[in-house]
Amino acid sequence: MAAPCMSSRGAVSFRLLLWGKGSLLQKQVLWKTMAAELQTNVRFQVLGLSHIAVITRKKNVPALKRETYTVDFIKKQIEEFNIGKRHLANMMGEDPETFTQEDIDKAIAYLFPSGLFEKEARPIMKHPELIFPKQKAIQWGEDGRPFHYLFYTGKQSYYSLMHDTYGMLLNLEKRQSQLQAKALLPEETQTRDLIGSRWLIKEELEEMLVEKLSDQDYMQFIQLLEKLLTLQYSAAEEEFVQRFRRSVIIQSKKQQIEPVQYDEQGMAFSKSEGKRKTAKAEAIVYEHGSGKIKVNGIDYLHYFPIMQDREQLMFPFHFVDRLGKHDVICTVSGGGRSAQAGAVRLAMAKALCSFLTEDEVEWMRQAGLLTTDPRVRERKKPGQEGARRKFTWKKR
Amino acid sequence: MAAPAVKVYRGCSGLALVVRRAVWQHPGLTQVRWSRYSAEFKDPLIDKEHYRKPVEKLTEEEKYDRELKKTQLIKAAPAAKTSSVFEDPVVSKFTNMMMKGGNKILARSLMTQTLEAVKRKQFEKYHAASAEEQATIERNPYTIFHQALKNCEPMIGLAPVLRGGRIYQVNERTGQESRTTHR
Repeated sequence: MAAPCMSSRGAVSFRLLLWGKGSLLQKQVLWKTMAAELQTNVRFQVLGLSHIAVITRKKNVPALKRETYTVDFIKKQIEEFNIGKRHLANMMGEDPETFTQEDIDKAIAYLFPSGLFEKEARPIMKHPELIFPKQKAIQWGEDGRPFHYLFYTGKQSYYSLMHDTYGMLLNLEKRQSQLQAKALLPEETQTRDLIGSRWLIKEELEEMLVEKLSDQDYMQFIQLLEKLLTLQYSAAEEEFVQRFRRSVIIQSKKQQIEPVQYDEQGMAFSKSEGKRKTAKAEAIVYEHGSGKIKVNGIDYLHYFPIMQDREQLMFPFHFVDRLGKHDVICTVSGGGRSAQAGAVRLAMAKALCSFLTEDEVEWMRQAGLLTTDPRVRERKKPGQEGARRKFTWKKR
Repeated sequence: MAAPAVKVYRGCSGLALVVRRAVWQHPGLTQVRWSRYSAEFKDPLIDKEHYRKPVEKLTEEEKYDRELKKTQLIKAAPAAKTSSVFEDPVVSKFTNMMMKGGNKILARSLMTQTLEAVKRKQFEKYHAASAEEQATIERNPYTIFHQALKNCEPMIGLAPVLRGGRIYQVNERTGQESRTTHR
């Protein structure tokens, strides 16, 4: 069976990852995953992505050009990718019609097992759109005259977009003033869903326009769109604006609610785990009970002699007004006294979710009862006395 | 979208029109203070009444805030905070400031013993006093504690005054002149 994607024909293997191209994919994947969870101004740690440009002063050395890929080349790559995908599906014994990207990744990982530590250096087979950077076609004709009327602004896509948006805004304002003059303005304001979506971030806009933008450009554009939102618009404008919005996930949907189980006596219970620092706890919350809590086989009053820890145990139940209504049996190990109390609190809160309504689960989440505390002890650094404390500074 | 539609109104789109970038960039500055939580985590709100409010009584802003909160990530509740009615934020803060070497057990026991002692003394006075005086004696140790803290606030402070092109720091009253002492 012919296997063109496996053969090593000349310069054909662009479908499989080339090491140089990997960095672009990595960068795109990196900020795309970050952008997906963005709401407000974000600060992340400065990453070490730097591109070093080498400028040689010698003569007769050609300047470093960005590699340009012609449209035909990309088309050919896409064809080859599709054919290769079908061959791969045949090889793996799957149906070529329903072979998804995940299946491709699994197949490549199986056929080319790589022990390399760096994930981006391992062989991959992705659609050429994701591998080759988006480039603009040649912007001018044979006579040297540019096609676009805004070519000489330097950022033709951006300015033409601004121009279109502003034109739309002016039209809407004119329409609104005409309606106002005739007193035909509809009274009810349109309702729009603003919460489930967010504006594009700067990187996404740059990728859309295939142009570099400055911060001020981006802000201007978003301000224009905001202004557009305050006016009444129709379906065409709605569609235009939606192109620049991305959806944001409702966090409560991500919460895993444990299924209710039944033991030998037919009592309903729910099991869950929780952890805090190095303490790990597992709690079994019974649906009907009288508020008894047993920790590691010992009554909670004896296991947690300190008031603060017992308050933490009581917290999830008190928050949803179910103080004496559930029985709990839990096991906990590791950590100190406060960490164990925190771990048990988290485990109980998660287990309790199975018996609560969606609203109550969301309230618990917003009160911080369902988040695992990620804070752990910071390591001691060499040259310092502790994690932050430095040695006494002596002038001489 | 999954969330129900909300009416648009200016200034509440929750954006603040800051440039949104994926990676924080600032020339010449590196981050030194970090947190185990990434920047998008918000502080938790522990208030039962706030969540139990019926939907009809909410204003537009509050409804919008609620919907927005559903999309935000929330930090874990701190280890010393509960929804208990007996918890007082001022007393908790004071206990933390009294704490030495992380010995919260000792600090909290001292605090509770103090409040208990105050309460006992006030009750003794109450039982020893006549009917009219009994009305003036305050027995709640928490009110006494709060009032004591207020009494400790300074009565004069410095305020900048512009005279002759120069700014002088001048003593001025802070307006904390109403002092109450409980018997």
